[in-house]
Amino acid sequence: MTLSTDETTGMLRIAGMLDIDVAQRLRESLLNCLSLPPVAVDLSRVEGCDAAALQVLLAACRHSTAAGNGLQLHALSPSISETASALGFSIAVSAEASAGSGPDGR
Amino acid sequence: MAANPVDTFLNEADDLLLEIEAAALSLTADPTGDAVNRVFRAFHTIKGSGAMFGFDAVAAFTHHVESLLDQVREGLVKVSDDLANLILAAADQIKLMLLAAQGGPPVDSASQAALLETVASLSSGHAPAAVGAASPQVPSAAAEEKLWNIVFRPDPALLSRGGNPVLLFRDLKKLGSCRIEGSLDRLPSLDEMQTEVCYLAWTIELTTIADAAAIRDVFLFVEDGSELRIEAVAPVVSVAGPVLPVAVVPPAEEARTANGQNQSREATVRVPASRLDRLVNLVGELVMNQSRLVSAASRFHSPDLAAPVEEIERLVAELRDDVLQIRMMPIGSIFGRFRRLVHDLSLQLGKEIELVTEGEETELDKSILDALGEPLVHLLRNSIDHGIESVADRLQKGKTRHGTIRLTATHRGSDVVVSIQDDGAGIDRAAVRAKAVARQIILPDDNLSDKEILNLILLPGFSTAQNVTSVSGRGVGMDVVKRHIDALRGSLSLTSEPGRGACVSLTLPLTLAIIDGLLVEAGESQYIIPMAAVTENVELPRGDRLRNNGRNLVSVRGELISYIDLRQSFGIDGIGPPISKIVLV
Repeated sequence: MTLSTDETTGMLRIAGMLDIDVAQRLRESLLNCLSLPPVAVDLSRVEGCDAAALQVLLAACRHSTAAGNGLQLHALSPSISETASALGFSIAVSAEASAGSGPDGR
Repeated sequence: MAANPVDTFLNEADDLLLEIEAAALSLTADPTGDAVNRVFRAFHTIKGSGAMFGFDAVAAFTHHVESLLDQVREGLVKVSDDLANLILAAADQIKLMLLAAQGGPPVDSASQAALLETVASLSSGHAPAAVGAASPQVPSAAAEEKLWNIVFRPDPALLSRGGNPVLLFRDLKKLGSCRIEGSLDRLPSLDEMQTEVCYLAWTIELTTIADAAAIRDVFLFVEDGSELRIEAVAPVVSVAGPVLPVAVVPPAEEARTANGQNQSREATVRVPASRLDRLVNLVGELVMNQSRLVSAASRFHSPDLAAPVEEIERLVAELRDDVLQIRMMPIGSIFGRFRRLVHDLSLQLGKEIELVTEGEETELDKSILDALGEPLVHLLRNSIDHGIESVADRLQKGKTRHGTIRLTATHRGSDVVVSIQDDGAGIDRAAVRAKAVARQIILPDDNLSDKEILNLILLPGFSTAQNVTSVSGRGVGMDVVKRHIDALRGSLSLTSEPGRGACVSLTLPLTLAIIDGLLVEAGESQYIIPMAAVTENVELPRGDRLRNNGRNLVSVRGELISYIDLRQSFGIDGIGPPISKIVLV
């Protein structure tokens, strides 16, 4: 997994393989993004994603506070979408990312 | 000390191979029943676990057999005697391979190759899939589709152990169409979560013709520690016209709790037999010392002492009974292996023999059970070889073409009676008598009862068999059986009806671990005589003692019985009590 920051926009780009080995680093990076003002995250260059990394993303997507520092997902790679779909979850690319397919958005 | 996982696999492999044997022997009798699935699952588990613990050769060999069985389940290969025999041979081969892997004799690669050729010849021409993860059953189009609800809440350690839910659901989709819904109800906040813990859970709707067992097989290696519920909702009806109402069948019972245990089945624990033996020995010591405590307390006449001593006596008796119960095992655990013996020997001798068993649930002590196997094998071999006639002979005598051997076990008081009865030719009394005369065991004019003639065959080397076969006939069977039974403090009886069959009955105690004994005293010393050996106690006043020709005698209901005076034998001084006790054994 590689992390880089766009100097112009301040967007965090995450690329490479997201798996259980990097899940802790991913979690810490996303926690940093859940700040004020929130940092957008670009996941379009992620090459692969396993269940451990996906649940970190889902936890990050669920994180939101009254202050509005929820995860700002700018883009998702096909591999993340495929893994999410295979495991019965959905991750929306927007400021209001949702997870799961239940009516309550769980 | 933690159990060695390889030992755990080897123990479980033994159980699975027994399961394969039992299922294979019932295969041809019930080809559409559950036997094929049981065999498949057992081979499947051996393959997976074998690969996990480094028994790669076993996994590779088992894979070929599993693939053939997969074709049987799909209806591409028919159940037959050849298939059943192949399964038995494959199970034997796996036993040898496991033994070789543990330092036993090397496997004969030629016979293994021949077995694989037989597997290939029985296959329907579809090549087995590549060796690797188990391929789930591809359902045949002929069976009825059902809708299944599956709830899977995996063990939190799933991900850290290398489990991959994506691959799991990919295998599940091979069974039919799936709707997978993920749940995040266990997922904590991002700052609280531990990334190696699996917080995800799923509810899945699966439409498939596969049965619950095939669905569960998909979760075979992730089931432990997980909550897995598989419930049938309804059969799926495909119609071209108006939609018909679908009856909702009751959900199949497949619930498991979060700790992986089936709610309807009691948890069991494997314990090394040596630990049980040590526990029994300690309880035995406790029982003896408790008896001494009771005896000593009775001399103090103290209510403060009497009450706790009585309570200890009650608790020790309960502990003794519970510990002995732990050692009790159903005799059916050894009956199962005899089906294979009868099957193989019948084939070898060209006879048709059915083994009928009754009383499998009858329990007796493990040590007696372990010692009973060999005598029963001898008796079965004799029955098959000398008792049951050939098909031609039986038909000529107006009997059914197949002979029957009935193996039964039943409780009788504090004993267990195990009987082996066949409907064969019976024991030829004239031949037995003639052999006994020829060996000068009896005189030609000796008048023997029927029972006495039959008991002659219990003598060493006594056999009236015309030929010594690899099955029996060396005359080393019956006397060995008798010695084994005597060593177990049991007894053996023979009955026979010419032309109709013979029956051997073994009467055995339930347990030898802790036995009741009669405490006797001579002078200051105490001795214990097993109660099983005691027939009667007789009082002997000093004035009634008799001696004749140097022997001590006592009159019991008019019969003079000689006895051993322990005081005399052990040189104990003094004249003894006014009334002595004679123990008749």
